[in-house]
Amino acid sequence: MPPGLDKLQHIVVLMMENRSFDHMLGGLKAQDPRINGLTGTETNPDTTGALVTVQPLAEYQSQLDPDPNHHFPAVDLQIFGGDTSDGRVANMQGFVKSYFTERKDVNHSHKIMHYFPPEKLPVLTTLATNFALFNSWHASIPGPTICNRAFAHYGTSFGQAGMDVFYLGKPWLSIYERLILANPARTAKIYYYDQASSTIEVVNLLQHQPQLFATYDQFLADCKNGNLPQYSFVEPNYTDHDGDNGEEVASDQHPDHDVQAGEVFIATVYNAIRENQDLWETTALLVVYDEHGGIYDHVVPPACMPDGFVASGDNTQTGQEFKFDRLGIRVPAILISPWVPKGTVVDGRVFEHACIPNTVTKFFLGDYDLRSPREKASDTFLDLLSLDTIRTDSIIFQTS
Amino acid sequence: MSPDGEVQVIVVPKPAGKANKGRQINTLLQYQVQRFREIEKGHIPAHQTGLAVDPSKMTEGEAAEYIKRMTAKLHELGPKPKKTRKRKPKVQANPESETKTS
Repeated sequence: MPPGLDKLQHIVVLMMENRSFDHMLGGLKAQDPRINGLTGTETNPDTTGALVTVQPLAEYQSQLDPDPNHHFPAVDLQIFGGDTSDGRVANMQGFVKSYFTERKDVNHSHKIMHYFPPEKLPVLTTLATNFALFNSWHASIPGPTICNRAFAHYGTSFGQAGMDVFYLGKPWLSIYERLILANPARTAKIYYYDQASSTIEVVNLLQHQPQLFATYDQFLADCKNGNLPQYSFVEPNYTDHDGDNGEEVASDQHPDHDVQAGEVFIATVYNAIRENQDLWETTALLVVYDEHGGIYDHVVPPACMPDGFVASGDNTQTGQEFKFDRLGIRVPAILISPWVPKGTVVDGRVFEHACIPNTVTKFFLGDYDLRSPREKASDTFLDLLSLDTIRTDSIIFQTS
Repeated sequence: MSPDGEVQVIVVPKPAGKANKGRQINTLLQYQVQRFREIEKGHIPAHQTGLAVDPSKMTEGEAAEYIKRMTAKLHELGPKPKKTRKRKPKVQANPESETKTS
C-alpha cells in the first residue's frame, strides 16, 4: 500500500454551493493546457440569436442576481439548448436563454457566461494548481442542491430530481450511519457552520440523529486537538445573520452570496488541517461543489450507471421521466493532501458525488454490499495519494 | 510551483461586502425553511417555536433565526450520545505495601 494510504486516518469533504467548473477554474487552461477549461471562444446564443462569448468578467457579488435557475427543467434547457425531441443531442447552448427567463433582460442574461480570472480566486486557484484538480467531476444529477447532496450522503437521491426531503425507511444507509453502525464502530460527523445556518440537506438526519452534527467551531477545535473523526463533512454558512461574535456573512458562494467570503472559508478549513502537522499527514481533504448553479460550463455531461430509481415526469417537472442515467454539469473539485503530487490534473476519469460515499466506505469498511448500484459502479479517489515520500512544501493562506 | 521545503504564503483579501440580513432568501433557503416547518408541525407539535413563517417572504435574517431555533430544538429533543463511564481500576492489596507488624 502506498505510504499516503497507509498513514491515512481522516477524510474531510467540504461541499460548497452552485458554481460551475468553467466559471471558477476555466481560466486556468491558459496557464496549463492539461486543464479542460476555457479557450475564450466558447459561446451561447442569446434570445435575439446573437452569440455571447465567455469573458473573464465574473464579479464576487451582485452580478448573478437574480439567482440563475438550476432546477431540472432549467438545466435541461441549458444542456440541450431547448431541444426536447427524442434522440436530441446535448450541446450546452441553453445557458443564456435559460438565464434570460429570470429577468427578461437580454444584456443581463449574458452574464451567465462570465468566469473568474485565476487571480481573483487566489485560494481555489492555488489549491487547484498545487494539488489534484479533477477535469471531470460532475454533479450527480442535472438538477438542484438537495438531490445532488443526497448522492454525497447516500450514493443516491432515492428517485428525487428536485428539492424534496427524504424520510426514514430508505433502502440504503447514509455514509454516516454505515460508519457508526459498523462493528467496530467508526466515527463520522457533519459540521455545519452554526445553528442559524444549520445543515442544508437531509433534514431527517438532523431530526433523528442530531448526535452526528457539530458546529464549525467544533471542527476547528477538533483539528487543533487531533480529535477529528474518521470522516467529516463540512458545510459553509448559508445565510447572512447575527452570530455570537457579530454579523456573519454567508460563505457558501451560492449566488448572490459573496464569492470572496467563500474563498476565506475554504482557506480556514484548509489552514485548520494544515496547521496540525500530524493531522496534515494523515488527512485527505476534498473541496467540491454540489452543482453548477445554472452557470455556463462547456462539457457535455456523460451517461452513467442508473441507480435503480426513476423520477416521474411530475417530479422532473418536464413531463418526461428521468432514469438517473446521465450526470449533471461539471463542478470544481480538488483533492488536497501532502501525498498528492503537485500539479496533478485528473483526466480521463469521470467522478460524481456518489464517489464520496464509495471512497469512504471502501477505505474504512471494505466490502459493503447494501448500497445503490450507482454508488458501487462509481470511481474512488484515494489512489491519487500516490507519492512515495511526503511533500515538504507548504502553503499557508493568510486571511485578514 | 514552489520547490520542496518552501513555504508559500497566499494573502486572501477580506470580503468587501457586509452582511445583508434583509436580503430575500434564495430558493435553497426557502426549501430549508419549508422542511423545518414540516418537521415543526408534523413531528414535534408539542414544541412549537411560535414564529410566523412564510418562506416566500422571509429575509435571510428571519430565516436564520427560525432555523436556529429549530436546530436547537431538534438537538434538545434528539437522542443523547451514550456517555462512556471510565471504570476506576480495582485496587488490589499489595502484600509488600501492607504495614507489617512484627
